[in-house]
Amino acid sequence: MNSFKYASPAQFYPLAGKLVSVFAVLATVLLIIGLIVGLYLAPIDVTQKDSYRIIYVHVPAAWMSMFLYVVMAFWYAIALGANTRLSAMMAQSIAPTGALMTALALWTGSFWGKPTWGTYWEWDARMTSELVLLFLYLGVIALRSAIDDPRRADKACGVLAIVGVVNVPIIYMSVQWWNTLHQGATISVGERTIDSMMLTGLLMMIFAFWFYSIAITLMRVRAIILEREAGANWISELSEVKGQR
Amino acid sequence: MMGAFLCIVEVIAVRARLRKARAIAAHRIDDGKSAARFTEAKQ
Repeated sequence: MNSFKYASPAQFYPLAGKLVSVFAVLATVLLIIGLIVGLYLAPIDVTQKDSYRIIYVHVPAAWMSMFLYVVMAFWYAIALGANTRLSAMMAQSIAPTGALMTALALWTGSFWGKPTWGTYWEWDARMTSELVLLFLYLGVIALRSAIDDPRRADKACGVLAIVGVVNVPIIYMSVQWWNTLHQGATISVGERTIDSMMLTGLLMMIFAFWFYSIAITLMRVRAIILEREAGANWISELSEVKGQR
Repeated sequence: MMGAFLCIVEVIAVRARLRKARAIAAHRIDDGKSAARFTEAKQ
C-alpha cells in the first residue's frame, strides 16, 4: 500500500472526512468519562481541596498547546523542505486550535492561581513563556492573513513557526531551570506523585483534548483544501459540491 | 465552562467555513463554465 498517495489533497480529503467522525466520537466519550472521573470520583486534594479540579482542563490544554505547536512546526518544516502543499495546509489548520488551547491554558491557569498563589498572574518563567507561545500562534495566523499568495504565506509562516519552536522546551523545562511560582510536573516517568484515580481522569482528559484537536484540525483542513484547490477537476466530482450547484 | 464555550464556537466556525468553501467551489465551477461559453461565443 502506497501511503504517500495521501500526500495528495485529492486523496487525503475523503480520508480526513472519515477520520473526523471517528476522532469526534472518541473525544466525546473520553471527555464525558474523564469529567465524571475527575469532577466526581477523584478524591479532593489535601492542600487545595476541590479547587485543584481545574487541573483536568488546565493540564490537557497546556500539553496540547505545546504539542500542537511542535506538530505545526513539523508540518511547516516538511512543507518548506519537500515543497508539499498539503503539509502547509495541515500546519495552517493546526494554528487556530493551538491558539485556543494556549488561551484556555492561560485562562484556567489564572483562575487556579488566584486561590493557590493569591494572584491571577505572575511574570514567572512558565507563564511568560506560555504567553509568548500564544503570541507566536497569533503571529502565524496574522502573517497568513497578511500575505495574499498562499505559497508565499506558507513559506513565511513556516519560517516563523520553526524559529518559534525553541519556545516549547523553554516552557517545558522552565520549572526546572528557574525558581518559578508554577508547580513542577504533575505526571513524571517512574515517580508517581498523584493519586491513581486523579491520574486516570487526567489521562482521559488529555486523550479527549488530543482527539478533539485531531478532529477539528481534520475538519478545518478539508475547508482549506476546498479553498486552495477550488479550480481542480476532482473537486467538481465531489457529491457535496455537485449538490450545491 | 469557558473551555466548552470556546470549543463549541470553534466547531461552529469550522463547519461554517467548510460550508462556505463547498459553496464557493460549486459556484467557481459554474463560473468556469460561464467563462468558457463566453470565450467560445467571442471566437
